[in-house]
Amino acid sequence: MDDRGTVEVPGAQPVRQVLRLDPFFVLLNARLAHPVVLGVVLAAIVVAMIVLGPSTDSRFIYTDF
Amino acid sequence: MRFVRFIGIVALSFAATLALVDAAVRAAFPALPRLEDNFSAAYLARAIDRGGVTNHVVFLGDSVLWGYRLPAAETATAELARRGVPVTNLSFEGGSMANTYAMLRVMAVRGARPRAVVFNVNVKEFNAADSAYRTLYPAVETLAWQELTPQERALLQRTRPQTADAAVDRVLSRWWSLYGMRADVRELLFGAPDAATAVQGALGQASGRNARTEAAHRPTAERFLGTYDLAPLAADNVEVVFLRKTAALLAAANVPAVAILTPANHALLHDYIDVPDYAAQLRSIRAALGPRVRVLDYDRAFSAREFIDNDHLTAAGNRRLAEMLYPVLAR
Repeated sequence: MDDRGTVEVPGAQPVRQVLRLDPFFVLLNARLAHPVVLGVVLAAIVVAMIVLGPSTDSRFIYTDF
Repeated sequence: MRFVRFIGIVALSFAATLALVDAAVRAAFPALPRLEDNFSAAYLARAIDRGGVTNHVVFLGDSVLWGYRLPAAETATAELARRGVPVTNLSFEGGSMANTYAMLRVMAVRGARPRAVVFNVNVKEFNAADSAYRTLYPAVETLAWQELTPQERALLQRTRPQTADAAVDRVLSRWWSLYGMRADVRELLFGAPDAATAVQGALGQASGRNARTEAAHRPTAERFLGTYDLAPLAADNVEVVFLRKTAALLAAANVPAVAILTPANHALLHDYIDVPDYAAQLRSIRAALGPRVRVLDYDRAFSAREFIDNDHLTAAGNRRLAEMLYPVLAR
């Protein structure tokens, strides 16, 4: 079998296959995912959850007639 | 290592943003003209601490003084404020003598000293079946419970759960203003307990459901059957106990006190309260208040058209209440 044209590179590492949908990959490589921006976005989500969340506080139920 | 550094920066940014929002809430949350109908312990503490009580005429009471079904600007306290009386309205729906006493204890422990205290005494709340009898409003309970004696606590039923969740909630509410005042923030933003209720209200408005409910909301005498218990007031009636304690506390603190015997719609409630037993209850209440509290007997001071229902005054009724109170408080 003629194997001319095939080159074996000594010490070559196998290429790491990265699934592009891996959340950590997205997190670390997305252009907008600067850690400061991400922290602000997460805080905004928490604030929105508190402000827009349902009222579950126990309160006096006024007995209207 | 890169990932750990990344997470560290995210955490720092997250914490810094929340701290910034919290600082903004602390600095910018306004002093409201009266307590919202779902106020938090954090807001109440803030209202007392930020100079809203000391040297002010403080109103403590139930929905009658709060201004049930009226905008804050149409209440008697708002009218008094327009006339130059330095008024703070700390009344709320579900107030009672137990709540008034607890509020006074909270004010005292926080070092607030009112110029005078005006509170209303509502006969219906001496009925053990009333929902305000032996119950503190949750925010008041949160602030006042530790200030009450064991004997006083034994008279009351706790409404705040004593679970691990509730303990976490208390700690978060204490240190995180946005969380502690979330009910007040929602009320301020949406004019409702939460966003979903606000949307529901807007839909009800658009569909006419709110108008139909309002039209059906007509007070008739039979709706108040059982509202008043006219048995003679016993010394161990929880409201009587806290009425006496309120009068004694104000006298001991040398704070001028005015008690309003709550206006009652006698035309509507004629069958229930135009009887000697009701008059006897009013006499018992006067006696329990003692000589140091100035009593304003407004029980029969308003005509039927000045009421929304059995005891809540219309905007015109509130204006007249302010006119009657002004000479007493302006001095």
